[in-house]
Amino acid sequence: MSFRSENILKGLSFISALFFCGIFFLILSTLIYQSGALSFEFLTTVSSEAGRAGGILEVINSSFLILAICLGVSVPLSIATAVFLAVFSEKNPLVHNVISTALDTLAATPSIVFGLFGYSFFVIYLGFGFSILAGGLTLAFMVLPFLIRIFEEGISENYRQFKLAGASLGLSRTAQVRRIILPLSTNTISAGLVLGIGRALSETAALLFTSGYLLRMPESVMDSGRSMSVHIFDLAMNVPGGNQNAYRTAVVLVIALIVINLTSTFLTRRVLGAKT
Amino acid sequence: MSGQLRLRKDFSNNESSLTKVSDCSERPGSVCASLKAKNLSLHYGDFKAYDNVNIEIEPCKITALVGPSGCGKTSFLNSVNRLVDLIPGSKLRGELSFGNTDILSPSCDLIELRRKIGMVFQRPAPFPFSIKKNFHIPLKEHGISKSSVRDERMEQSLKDVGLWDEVKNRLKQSACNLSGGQQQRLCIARTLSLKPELLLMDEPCSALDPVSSEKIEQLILSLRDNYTVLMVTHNLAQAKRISDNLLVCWVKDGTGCLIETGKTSEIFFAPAEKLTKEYLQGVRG
Repeated sequence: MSFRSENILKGLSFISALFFCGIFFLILSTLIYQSGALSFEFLTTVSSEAGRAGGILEVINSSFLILAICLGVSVPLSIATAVFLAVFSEKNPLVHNVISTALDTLAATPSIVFGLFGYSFFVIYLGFGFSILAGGLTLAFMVLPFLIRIFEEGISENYRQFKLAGASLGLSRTAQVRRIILPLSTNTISAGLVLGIGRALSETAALLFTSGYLLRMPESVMDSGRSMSVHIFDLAMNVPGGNQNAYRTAVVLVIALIVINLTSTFLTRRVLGAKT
Repeated sequence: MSGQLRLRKDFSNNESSLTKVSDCSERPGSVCASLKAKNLSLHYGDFKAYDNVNIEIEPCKITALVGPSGCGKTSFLNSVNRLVDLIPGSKLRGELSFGNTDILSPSCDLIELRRKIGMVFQRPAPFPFSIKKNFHIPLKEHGISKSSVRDERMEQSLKDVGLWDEVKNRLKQSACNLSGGQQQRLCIARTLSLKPELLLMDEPCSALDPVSSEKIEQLILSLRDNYTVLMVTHNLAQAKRISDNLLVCWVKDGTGCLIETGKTSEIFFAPAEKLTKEYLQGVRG
Protein backbone atom coordinates (compact mmCIF):
# COMPACT_ATOMS: atom_id res chain seq x y z
CA MET A 1 0.00 0.00 0.00
CA SER A 2 1.38 3.40 -0.95
CA PHE A 3 2.14 6.09 1.60
CA ARG A 4 -0.68 8.23 0.22
CA SER A 5 -3.41 5.58 0.38
CA GLU A 6 -2.24 4.57 3.86
CA ASN A 7 -2.67 8.18 4.99
CA ILE A 8 -6.16 8.31 3.45
CA LEU A 9 -7.12 5.09 5.27
CA LYS A 10 -5.70 6.44 8.51
CA GLY A 11 -7.64 9.69 8.05
CA LEU A 12 -10.90 7.84 7.33
CA SER A 13 -10.44 5.62 10.39
CA PHE A 14 -9.81 8.69 12.53
CA ILE A 15 -12.91 10.44 11.16
CA SER A 16 -15.13 7.40 11.80
CA ALA A 17 -13.76 7.09 15.35
CA LEU A 18 -14.42 10.81 15.87
CA PHE A 19 -17.92 10.38 14.44
CA PHE A 20 -18.63 7.56 16.88
CA CYS A 21 -17.45 9.67 19.84
CA GLY A 22 -19.58 12.53 18.49
CA ILE A 23 -22.71 10.35 18.51
CA PHE A 24 -22.01 9.27 22.09
CA PHE A 25 -21.59 12.86 23.30
CA LEU A 26 -24.62 14.01 21.29
CA ILE A 27 -26.82 11.42 23.02
CA LEU A 28 -25.42 12.22 26.46
CA SER A 29 -25.64 16.01 26.00
CA THR A 30 -29.22 15.76 24.65
CA LEU A 31 -30.24 13.71 27.69
CA ILE A 32 -28.52 16.12 30.09
CA TYR A 33 -30.00 19.16 28.30
CA GLN A 34 -33.54 17.73 28.37
CA SER A 35 -33.25 16.63 31.98
CA GLY A 36 -32.71 20.16 33.29
CA ALA A 37 -31.02 20.35 36.66
CA LEU A 38 -29.91 16.95 37.97
CA SER A 39 -29.37 16.84 41.70
CA PHE A 40 -28.01 14.14 43.99
CA GLU A 41 -31.40 14.15 45.74
CA PHE A 42 -32.88 12.57 42.62
CA LEU A 43 -31.00 9.40 43.52
CA THR A 44 -31.81 9.40 47.24
CA THR A 45 -35.51 10.23 47.36
CA VAL A 46 -38.53 8.19 46.34
CA SER A 47 -40.84 9.30 43.57
CA SER A 48 -44.10 11.12 43.93
CA GLU A 49 -46.99 12.06 41.62
CA ALA A 50 -46.60 8.85 39.57
CA GLY A 51 -42.95 9.67 38.94
CA ARG A 52 -43.44 13.26 37.75
CA ALA A 53 -41.80 14.55 40.89
CA GLY A 54 -39.35 13.24 43.47
CA GLY A 55 -36.48 10.89 42.81
CA ILE A 56 -35.97 7.29 41.72
CA LEU A 57 -34.66 5.57 44.85
CA GLU A 58 -37.20 2.71 44.63
CA VAL A 59 -36.51 2.34 40.90
CA ILE A 60 -32.75 2.08 41.55
CA ASN A 61 -33.41 -0.51 44.28
CA SER A 62 -35.67 -2.58 42.03
CA SER A 63 -33.19 -2.36 39.13
CA PHE A 64 -30.35 -3.45 41.39
CA LEU A 65 -32.32 -6.45 42.70
CA ILE A 66 -33.42 -7.52 39.20
CA LEU A 67 -29.83 -7.20 37.98
CA ALA A 68 -28.45 -9.12 40.98
CA ILE A 69 -30.84 -12.03 40.37
CA CYS A 70 -30.16 -11.95 36.65
CA LEU A 71 -26.36 -12.04 37.07
CA GLY A 72 -26.45 -14.41 40.05
CA VAL A 73 -28.19 -16.99 37.87
CA SER A 74 -26.79 -16.28 34.42
CA VAL A 75 -23.07 -15.81 35.15
CA PRO A 76 -22.34 -19.19 36.82
CA LEU A 77 -24.57 -20.99 34.31
CA SER A 78 -23.00 -19.29 31.31
CA ILE A 79 -19.43 -19.88 32.51
CA ALA A 80 -20.22 -23.55 33.12
CA THR A 81 -21.88 -23.93 29.69
CA ALA A 82 -19.06 -22.04 27.96
CA VAL A 83 -16.49 -24.32 29.63
CA PHE A 84 -18.46 -27.37 28.52
CA LEU A 85 -18.69 -26.14 24.93
CA ALA A 86 -15.07 -25.02 24.71
CA VAL A 87 -13.37 -27.80 26.66
CA PHE A 88 -15.51 -30.85 27.34
CA SER A 89 -17.63 -31.23 24.21
CA GLU A 90 -14.63 -31.75 21.90
CA LYS A 91 -15.36 -35.42 21.37
CA ASN A 92 -19.09 -34.96 21.09
CA PRO A 93 -19.66 -32.69 18.10
CA LEU A 94 -23.36 -33.56 17.92
CA VAL A 95 -24.08 -32.24 21.42
CA HIS A 96 -21.90 -29.21 20.67
CA ASN A 97 -23.81 -28.46 17.48
CA VAL A 98 -27.24 -28.89 19.07
CA ILE A 99 -26.34 -26.55 21.94
CA SER A 100 -24.73 -24.04 19.57
CA THR A 101 -27.82 -23.94 17.33
CA ALA A 102 -30.09 -23.49 20.34
CA LEU A 103 -27.87 -20.68 21.63
CA ASP A 104 -27.73 -18.83 18.32
CA THR A 105 -31.51 -19.08 17.95
CA LEU A 106 -32.09 -17.85 21.49
CA ALA A 107 -29.59 -14.99 21.04
CA ALA A 108 -31.56 -13.77 18.03
CA THR A 109 -34.96 -14.07 19.75
CA PRO A 110 -36.60 -10.67 20.45
CA SER A 111 -36.81 -9.75 24.13
CA ILE A 112 -40.60 -9.49 23.98
CA VAL A 113 -40.70 -13.24 23.31
CA PHE A 114 -38.63 -13.82 26.46
CA GLY A 115 -41.13 -11.54 28.22
CA LEU A 116 -44.04 -13.72 27.10
CA PHE A 117 -42.16 -16.87 28.14
CA GLY A 118 -41.33 -15.33 31.55
CA TYR A 119 -44.96 -14.32 32.02
CA SER A 120 -46.35 -17.78 31.25
CA PHE A 121 -43.61 -19.77 33.03
CA PHE A 122 -42.45 -17.75 36.04
CA VAL A 123 -45.40 -15.44 36.65
CA ILE A 124 -48.26 -17.88 35.99
CA TYR A 125 -46.97 -21.49 36.01
CA LEU A 126 -44.49 -21.22 38.90
CA GLY A 127 -46.77 -18.73 40.63
CA PHE A 128 -44.16 -16.02 41.24
CA GLY A 129 -46.66 -13.35 40.12
CA PHE A 130 -45.37 -10.01 38.80
CA SER A 131 -42.21 -9.93 40.84
CA ILE A 132 -38.57 -8.92 40.85
CA LEU A 133 -37.70 -12.63 40.99
CA ALA A 134 -39.69 -13.40 37.82
CA GLY A 135 -38.13 -10.37 36.07
CA GLY A 136 -34.59 -11.27 37.15
CA LEU A 137 -34.95 -14.89 36.04
CA THR A 138 -36.44 -13.89 32.68
CA LEU A 139 -33.55 -11.48 32.12
CA ALA A 140 -31.12 -14.24 33.10
CA PHE A 141 -32.60 -16.50 30.38
CA MET A 142 -32.37 -13.63 27.93
CA VAL A 143 -28.69 -12.79 28.51
CA LEU A 144 -27.56 -16.43 28.89
CA PRO A 145 -26.98 -17.21 25.18
CA PHE A 146 -25.29 -13.88 24.74
CA LEU A 147 -22.94 -14.39 27.72
CA ILE A 148 -22.21 -18.02 26.81
CA ARG A 149 -21.07 -17.05 23.31
CA ILE A 150 -18.75 -14.31 24.60
CA PHE A 151 -17.30 -16.48 27.40
CA GLU A 152 -16.91 -19.47 25.08
CA GLU A 153 -14.82 -17.47 22.64
CA GLY A 154 -12.29 -16.42 25.31
CA ILE A 155 -12.19 -19.79 27.06
CA SER A 156 -11.88 -21.68 23.79
CA GLU A 157 -8.97 -19.51 22.62
CA ASN A 158 -7.06 -20.00 25.88
CA TYR A 159 -7.78 -23.72 25.96
CA ARG A 160 -6.55 -24.15 22.38
CA GLN A 161 -3.36 -22.35 23.26
CA PHE A 162 -2.49 -24.18 26.46
CA LYS A 163 -4.18 -27.58 26.33
CA LEU A 164 -1.11 -29.46 25.06
CA ALA A 165 1.21 -27.83 27.60
CA GLY A 166 -1.31 -28.47 30.39
CA ALA A 167 -2.04 -32.06 29.41
CA SER A 168 1.67 -32.87 28.95
CA LEU A 169 2.23 -31.84 32.58
CA GLY A 170 -0.41 -34.32 33.68
CA LEU A 171 -3.05 -31.72 34.45
CA SER A 172 -6.59 -32.99 34.14
CA ARG A 173 -8.96 -30.92 32.03
CA THR A 174 -10.71 -29.78 35.21
CA ALA A 175 -7.39 -28.66 36.67
CA GLN A 176 -6.51 -26.86 33.45
CA VAL A 177 -9.84 -25.03 33.49
CA ARG A 178 -9.56 -24.09 37.16
CA ARG A 179 -5.88 -23.15 37.32
CA ILE A 180 -5.12 -21.87 33.83
CA ILE A 181 -8.04 -21.31 31.49
CA LEU A 182 -10.45 -19.44 33.76
CA PRO A 183 -7.79 -17.15 35.29
CA LEU A 184 -6.62 -16.31 31.77
CA SER A 185 -10.18 -15.68 30.62
CA THR A 186 -10.89 -13.05 33.27
CA ASN A 187 -10.64 -10.32 30.65
CA THR A 188 -13.24 -11.90 28.38
CA ILE A 189 -15.50 -12.72 31.29
CA SER A 190 -15.30 -9.13 32.46
CA ALA A 191 -16.06 -7.81 28.96
CA GLY A 192 -19.03 -10.19 28.72
CA LEU A 193 -20.27 -9.07 32.12
CA VAL A 194 -20.21 -5.39 31.12
CA LEU A 195 -22.15 -6.13 27.94
CA GLY A 196 -24.55 -8.42 29.81
CA ILE A 197 -25.18 -5.83 32.52
CA GLY A 198 -25.76 -3.25 29.80
CA ARG A 199 -28.34 -5.44 28.10
CA ALA A 200 -30.05 -6.31 31.37
CA LEU A 201 -30.18 -2.71 32.62
CA SER A 202 -31.57 -1.40 29.36
CA GLU A 203 -34.18 -4.13 28.93
CA THR A 204 -37.79 -2.98 28.95
CA ALA A 205 -40.07 -5.32 27.01
CA ALA A 206 -39.20 -8.52 28.91
CA LEU A 207 -39.68 -6.80 32.27
CA LEU A 208 -43.05 -5.25 31.50
CA PHE A 209 -44.50 -8.77 31.45
CA THR A 210 -42.62 -10.16 34.43
CA SER A 211 -41.48 -7.73 37.11
CA GLY A 212 -44.33 -5.35 36.32
CA TYR A 213 -44.14 -1.61 36.80
CA LEU A 214 -45.39 -0.95 40.29
CA LEU A 215 -43.73 2.22 41.53
CA ARG A 216 -42.89 1.48 45.14
CA MET A 217 -39.98 0.42 47.33
CA PRO A 218 -39.67 -3.39 47.07
CA GLU A 219 -39.67 -5.24 50.39
CA SER A 220 -38.73 -8.61 48.95
CA VAL A 221 -37.89 -10.19 45.62
CA MET A 222 -41.48 -11.41 45.43
CA ASP A 223 -42.71 -7.81 45.16
CA SER A 224 -43.36 -6.21 41.84
CA GLY A 225 -40.72 -3.59 41.04
CA ARG A 226 -40.02 -1.08 38.32
CA SER A 227 -36.62 -1.04 36.61
CA MET A 228 -35.02 2.15 35.27
CA SER A 229 -35.75 1.40 31.64
CA VAL A 230 -39.41 0.58 32.42
CA HIS A 231 -39.58 3.82 34.45
CA ILE A 232 -38.28 5.82 31.46
CA PHE A 233 -40.79 4.09 29.18
CA ASP A 234 -43.72 4.67 31.54
CA LEU A 235 -42.89 8.34 32.24
CA ALA A 236 -42.39 9.12 28.57
CA MET A 237 -45.45 7.26 27.29
CA ASN A 238 -48.08 7.20 30.04
CA VAL A 239 -47.43 10.07 32.46
CA PRO A 240 -48.18 13.57 31.19
CA GLY A 241 -45.44 15.93 32.41
CA GLY A 242 -43.14 13.03 33.17
CA ASN A 243 -40.65 13.73 30.37
CA GLN A 244 -38.09 15.60 32.45
CA ASN A 245 -37.79 12.83 35.02
CA ALA A 246 -37.64 10.31 32.17
CA TYR A 247 -34.58 12.14 30.79
CA ARG A 248 -33.07 12.38 34.27
CA THR A 249 -33.49 8.63 34.75
CA ALA A 250 -31.91 8.06 31.34
CA VAL A 251 -28.87 10.17 32.37
CA VAL A 252 -28.56 8.11 35.56
CA LEU A 253 -28.79 4.91 33.49
CA VAL A 254 -26.07 5.98 31.05
CA ILE A 255 -23.78 7.19 33.87
CA ALA A 256 -24.36 3.89 35.70
CA LEU A 257 -23.28 2.02 32.55
CA ILE A 258 -20.13 4.16 32.22
CA VAL A 259 -19.28 3.57 35.91
CA ILE A 260 -19.85 -0.19 35.57
CA ASN A 261 -17.64 -0.26 32.48
CA LEU A 262 -14.77 1.63 34.12
CA THR A 263 -15.03 -0.31 37.39
CA SER A 264 -15.03 -3.59 35.54
CA THR A 265 -11.94 -2.64 33.51
CA PHE A 266 -10.17 -1.51 36.68
CA LEU A 267 -11.12 -4.64 38.60
CA THR A 268 -10.05 -6.87 35.72
CA ARG A 269 -6.60 -5.29 35.68
CA ARG A 270 -6.32 -5.69 39.44
CA VAL A 271 -7.46 -9.31 39.35
CA LEU A 272 -5.21 -10.15 36.42
CA GLY A 273 -2.33 -8.30 38.03
CA ALA A 274 -2.77 -10.36 41.18
CA LYS A 275 -2.98 -13.60 39.25
CA THR A 276 0.06 -13.21 37.02
CA MET B 1 12.96 -54.50 10.03
CA SER B 2 16.67 -55.08 10.22
CA GLY B 3 17.33 -51.90 12.18
CA GLN B 4 14.89 -52.92 14.81
CA LEU B 5 16.60 -56.30 15.20
CA ARG B 6 19.95 -54.61 15.48
CA LEU B 7 18.80 -52.38 18.30
CA ARG B 8 17.19 -55.29 20.11
CA LYS B 9 20.44 -57.16 19.76
CA ASP B 10 22.24 -54.21 21.29
CA PHE B 11 19.94 -54.24 24.29
CA SER B 12 20.17 -57.94 24.92
CA ASN B 13 23.83 -58.59 24.19
CA ASN B 14 25.74 -55.42 24.85
CA GLU B 15 27.27 -55.79 28.26
CA SER B 16 28.17 -52.14 28.71
CA SER B 17 24.59 -51.19 27.97
CA LEU B 18 23.30 -53.53 30.65
CA THR B 19 25.86 -52.25 33.12
CA LYS B 20 24.75 -48.73 32.41
CA VAL B 21 21.13 -49.64 33.18
CA SER B 22 22.11 -51.12 36.46
CA ASP B 23 24.23 -48.03 37.30
CA CYS B 24 21.35 -45.81 36.48
CA SER B 25 18.81 -47.59 38.63
CA GLU B 26 21.07 -47.22 41.62
CA ARG B 27 21.12 -43.46 41.30
CA PRO B 28 18.79 -41.78 43.81
CA GLY B 29 15.71 -40.37 42.17
CA SER B 30 16.39 -41.86 38.78
CA VAL B 31 14.33 -44.70 37.40
CA CYS B 32 15.27 -46.22 34.11
CA ALA B 33 12.40 -48.13 32.66
CA SER B 34 12.40 -48.84 28.97
CA LEU B 35 9.80 -47.87 26.40
CA LYS B 36 8.66 -50.68 24.14
CA ALA B 37 6.40 -50.54 21.11
CA LYS B 38 5.17 -53.59 19.24
CA ASN B 39 3.22 -53.40 15.97
CA LEU B 40 2.18 -49.88 16.95
CA SER B 41 0.09 -47.86 14.53
CA LEU B 42 -1.80 -44.60 14.73
CA HIS B 43 -4.85 -43.56 12.72
CA TYR B 44 -6.41 -40.13 12.52
CA GLY B 45 -9.83 -41.15 11.24
CA ASP B 46 -9.09 -42.93 7.94
CA PHE B 47 -5.57 -41.54 7.69
CA LYS B 48 -2.79 -43.79 8.91
CA ALA B 49 -0.09 -41.57 10.45
CA TYR B 50 2.38 -44.40 11.05
CA ASP B 51 2.31 -48.17 10.99
CA ASN B 52 4.07 -51.24 12.35
CA VAL B 53 6.46 -49.52 14.74
CA ASN B 54 8.55 -52.00 16.70
CA ILE B 55 11.14 -50.46 18.98
CA GLU B 56 12.66 -50.59 22.40
CA ILE B 57 14.11 -47.35 23.65
CA GLU B 58 17.29 -47.82 25.66
CA PRO B 59 16.99 -46.43 29.18
CA CYS B 60 19.18 -43.54 30.34
CA LYS B 61 20.26 -42.75 26.81
CA ILE B 62 19.39 -40.05 24.31
CA THR B 63 17.49 -41.46 21.37
CA ALA B 64 16.96 -39.19 18.39
CA LEU B 65 14.05 -39.61 16.02
CA VAL B 66 14.87 -38.25 12.56
CA GLY B 67 13.21 -38.30 9.19
CA PRO B 68 11.50 -36.07 6.65
CA SER B 69 8.42 -34.00 7.53
CA GLY B 70 5.16 -35.94 7.68
CA CYS B 71 6.68 -39.29 8.59
CA GLY B 72 4.92 -39.38 11.97
CA LYS B 73 7.77 -38.44 14.32
CA THR B 74 5.73 -35.98 16.38
CA SER B 75 2.70 -38.26 16.21
CA PHE B 76 4.81 -41.08 17.65
CA LEU B 77 6.07 -38.80 20.42
CA ASN B 78 2.50 -37.73 21.18
CA SER B 79 1.46 -41.39 21.30
CA VAL B 80 3.95 -42.19 24.06
CA ASN B 81 2.20 -39.90 26.57
CA ARG B 82 -1.21 -40.38 24.90
CA LEU B 83 -1.47 -36.72 23.92
CA VAL B 84 -2.97 -38.01 20.66
CA ASP B 85 -6.09 -38.73 22.72
CA LEU B 86 -6.79 -35.01 22.53
CA ILE B 87 -7.25 -35.28 18.77
CA PRO B 88 -10.78 -36.44 17.92
CA GLY B 89 -10.73 -39.57 15.74
CA SER B 90 -7.24 -40.70 16.74
CA LYS B 91 -6.81 -44.42 17.30
CA LEU B 92 -3.70 -46.18 18.59
CA ARG B 93 -3.34 -49.91 17.89
CA GLY B 94 -0.70 -52.41 18.91
CA GLU B 95 1.34 -52.57 22.09
CA LEU B 96 3.09 -49.76 23.89
CA SER B 97 4.54 -50.06 27.35
CA PHE B 98 6.80 -48.10 29.64
CA GLY B 99 8.28 -50.25 32.39
CA ASN B 100 5.31 -52.08 33.84
CA THR B 101 2.80 -49.56 32.53
CA ASP B 102 0.64 -50.62 29.61
CA ILE B 103 0.24 -47.20 27.97
CA LEU B 104 -2.61 -48.23 25.69
CA SER B 105 -4.69 -49.85 28.42
CA PRO B 106 -8.06 -48.12 28.90
CA SER B 107 -7.40 -48.19 32.63
CA CYS B 108 -4.03 -46.41 32.26
CA ASP B 109 -3.93 -43.39 34.59
CA LEU B 110 -3.14 -40.64 32.07
CA ILE B 111 -2.37 -38.05 34.74
CA GLU B 112 0.29 -40.26 36.32
CA LEU B 113 1.52 -41.40 32.89
CA ARG B 114 2.09 -37.80 31.79
CA ARG B 115 3.87 -37.04 35.04
CA LYS B 116 6.20 -39.99 34.45
CA ILE B 117 6.66 -39.14 30.78
CA GLY B 118 7.37 -35.42 30.52
CA MET B 119 7.27 -33.51 27.27
CA VAL B 120 8.97 -30.42 25.87
CA PHE B 121 7.55 -28.80 22.76
CA GLN B 122 9.06 -27.15 19.71
CA ARG B 123 7.90 -23.74 20.86
CA PRO B 124 8.35 -22.92 24.54
CA ALA B 125 4.91 -23.04 26.19
CA PRO B 126 5.14 -21.30 29.55
CA PHE B 127 1.82 -20.34 31.09
CA PRO B 128 1.44 -16.55 31.05
CA PHE B 129 1.73 -16.39 34.82
CA SER B 130 4.70 -15.76 37.10
CA ILE B 131 7.74 -18.06 36.90
CA LYS B 132 6.87 -19.37 40.35
CA LYS B 133 3.27 -20.11 39.43
CA ASN B 134 4.42 -22.05 36.36
CA PHE B 135 5.92 -24.57 38.79
CA HIS B 136 3.35 -24.37 41.55
CA ILE B 137 0.33 -25.19 39.34
CA PRO B 138 1.49 -28.65 38.17
CA LEU B 139 3.19 -29.50 41.47
CA LYS B 140 0.07 -28.65 43.43
CA GLU B 141 -2.08 -30.70 41.07
CA HIS B 142 0.26 -33.65 41.58
CA GLY B 143 -0.38 -33.58 45.29
CA ILE B 144 2.45 -31.46 46.69
CA SER B 145 0.39 -29.37 49.04
CA LYS B 146 3.21 -27.71 51.01
CA SER B 147 4.31 -24.49 49.38
CA SER B 148 7.85 -24.80 50.81
CA VAL B 149 8.26 -28.23 49.17
CA ARG B 150 7.05 -26.81 45.87
CA ASP B 151 9.57 -23.99 46.21
CA GLU B 152 12.38 -26.48 46.84
CA ARG B 153 11.41 -28.53 43.77
CA MET B 154 11.29 -25.37 41.68
CA GLU B 155 14.70 -24.21 42.87
CA GLN B 156 16.30 -27.60 42.28
CA SER B 157 14.82 -27.93 38.79
CA LEU B 158 15.85 -24.40 37.84
CA LYS B 159 19.36 -25.18 39.09
CA ASP B 160 19.38 -28.40 37.06
CA VAL B 161 18.73 -26.45 33.87
CA GLY B 162 21.12 -23.65 34.83
CA LEU B 163 18.41 -21.01 35.03
CA TRP B 164 18.27 -20.39 38.77
CA ASP B 165 20.88 -17.63 38.88
CA GLU B 166 19.19 -15.83 36.00
CA VAL B 167 15.69 -15.83 37.49
CA LYS B 168 16.02 -16.21 41.26
CA ASN B 169 15.38 -12.49 41.83
CA ARG B 170 12.37 -12.30 39.56
CA LEU B 171 10.34 -15.38 40.33
CA LYS B 172 7.20 -13.28 40.65
CA GLN B 173 7.60 -11.79 37.19
CA SER B 174 5.78 -13.19 34.20
CA ALA B 175 7.45 -16.17 32.55
CA CYS B 176 6.62 -14.55 29.22
CA ASN B 177 9.18 -11.82 29.90
CA LEU B 178 12.03 -14.35 29.59
CA SER B 179 13.91 -14.81 26.32
CA GLY B 180 12.97 -17.72 24.04
CA GLY B 181 15.89 -19.85 25.23
CA GLN B 182 15.16 -19.07 28.87
CA GLN B 183 11.49 -19.95 28.34
CA GLN B 184 12.47 -23.30 26.84
CA ARG B 185 14.79 -24.04 29.76
CA LEU B 186 11.99 -23.00 32.11
CA CYS B 187 9.65 -25.47 30.40
CA ILE B 188 12.25 -28.23 30.72
CA ALA B 189 12.71 -27.34 34.40
CA ARG B 190 8.93 -27.34 34.90
CA THR B 191 8.78 -30.82 33.43
CA LEU B 192 11.76 -32.00 35.53
CA SER B 193 10.14 -30.67 38.71
CA LEU B 194 7.56 -33.46 38.36
CA LYS B 195 10.40 -36.01 38.47
CA PRO B 196 9.63 -37.75 35.18
CA GLU B 197 11.34 -40.96 34.10
CA LEU B 198 11.24 -40.35 30.36
CA LEU B 199 11.59 -37.02 28.58
CA LEU B 200 10.01 -36.50 25.18
CA MET B 201 11.41 -33.56 23.25
CA ASP B 202 9.83 -32.37 20.05
CA GLU B 203 12.45 -30.35 18.19
CA PRO B 204 13.32 -28.44 21.37
CA CYS B 205 15.87 -26.19 19.66
CA SER B 206 14.18 -25.46 16.35
CA ALA B 207 12.57 -22.19 17.47
CA LEU B 208 15.73 -20.92 19.17
CA ASP B 209 18.80 -18.95 18.16
CA PRO B 210 22.17 -20.78 17.92
CA VAL B 211 23.39 -19.65 21.35
CA SER B 212 20.17 -20.77 23.08
CA SER B 213 20.21 -24.01 21.05
CA GLU B 214 23.73 -24.72 22.27
CA LYS B 215 22.60 -24.24 25.89
CA ILE B 216 19.63 -26.58 25.41
CA GLU B 217 21.89 -29.18 23.78
CA GLN B 218 24.30 -29.05 26.70
CA LEU B 219 21.35 -29.33 29.03
CA ILE B 220 20.01 -32.41 27.23
CA LEU B 221 23.47 -33.99 27.44
CA SER B 222 23.60 -33.29 31.17
CA LEU B 223 20.21 -34.98 31.60
CA ARG B 224 21.38 -38.19 29.94
CA ASP B 225 22.70 -39.72 33.14
CA ASN B 226 19.41 -39.49 34.95
CA TYR B 227 16.70 -39.56 32.32
CA THR B 228 15.77 -41.45 29.22
CA VAL B 229 15.42 -38.87 26.46
CA LEU B 230 13.50 -39.41 23.22
CA MET B 231 14.00 -36.43 20.96
CA VAL B 232 12.62 -35.50 17.55
CA THR B 233 15.00 -33.38 15.53
CA HIS B 234 15.40 -32.22 11.94
CA ASN B 235 18.95 -31.23 12.66
CA LEU B 236 21.05 -34.25 11.67
CA ALA B 237 24.23 -32.64 12.99
CA GLN B 238 22.55 -32.21 16.34
CA ALA B 239 21.35 -35.83 16.33
CA LYS B 240 24.92 -36.93 15.57
CA ARG B 241 26.38 -34.70 18.30
CA ILE B 242 24.15 -35.61 21.20
CA SER B 243 22.22 -38.81 20.62
CA ASP B 244 23.32 -42.33 21.54
CA ASN B 245 20.72 -44.12 19.45
CA LEU B 246 18.97 -43.15 16.28
CA LEU B 247 15.56 -43.98 14.88
CA VAL B 248 15.17 -43.13 11.20
CA CYS B 249 11.60 -42.72 9.95
CA TRP B 250 10.33 -42.50 6.39
CA VAL B 251 7.06 -42.15 4.52
CA LYS B 252 6.04 -45.18 2.47
CA ASP B 253 2.74 -45.13 0.57
CA GLY B 254 1.69 -42.06 2.51
CA THR B 255 2.26 -43.75 5.88
CA GLY B 256 5.10 -43.18 8.32
CA CYS B 257 7.32 -46.09 9.27
CA LEU B 258 10.65 -46.84 10.87
CA ILE B 259 13.32 -47.80 8.37
CA GLU B 260 16.36 -48.14 10.57
CA THR B 261 17.26 -48.11 14.23
CA GLY B 262 20.54 -48.53 16.03
CA LYS B 263 23.48 -46.73 17.56
CA THR B 264 23.89 -43.24 16.15
CA SER B 265 27.61 -43.62 15.49
CA GLU B 266 27.03 -46.87 13.60
CA ILE B 267 24.17 -45.58 11.50
CA PHE B 268 26.04 -42.42 10.54
CA PHE B 269 29.18 -44.48 9.79
CA ALA B 270 27.53 -47.33 7.93
CA PRO B 271 23.78 -47.12 7.39
CA ALA B 272 22.21 -50.45 6.57
CA GLU B 273 19.36 -49.02 4.50
CA LYS B 274 19.86 -47.24 1.19
CA LEU B 275 17.18 -44.68 2.10
CA THR B 276 18.92 -43.90 5.37
CA LYS B 277 22.20 -43.39 3.58
CA GLU B 278 20.60 -41.03 1.07
CA TYR B 279 18.77 -39.15 3.80
CA LEU B 280 21.89 -38.71 5.91
CA GLN B 281 23.83 -37.56 2.85
CA GLY B 282 21.13 -35.03 2.09
CA VAL B 283 20.33 -36.63 -1.25
CA ARG B 284 16.74 -37.36 -0.16
CA GLY B 285 14.46 -36.00 2.52
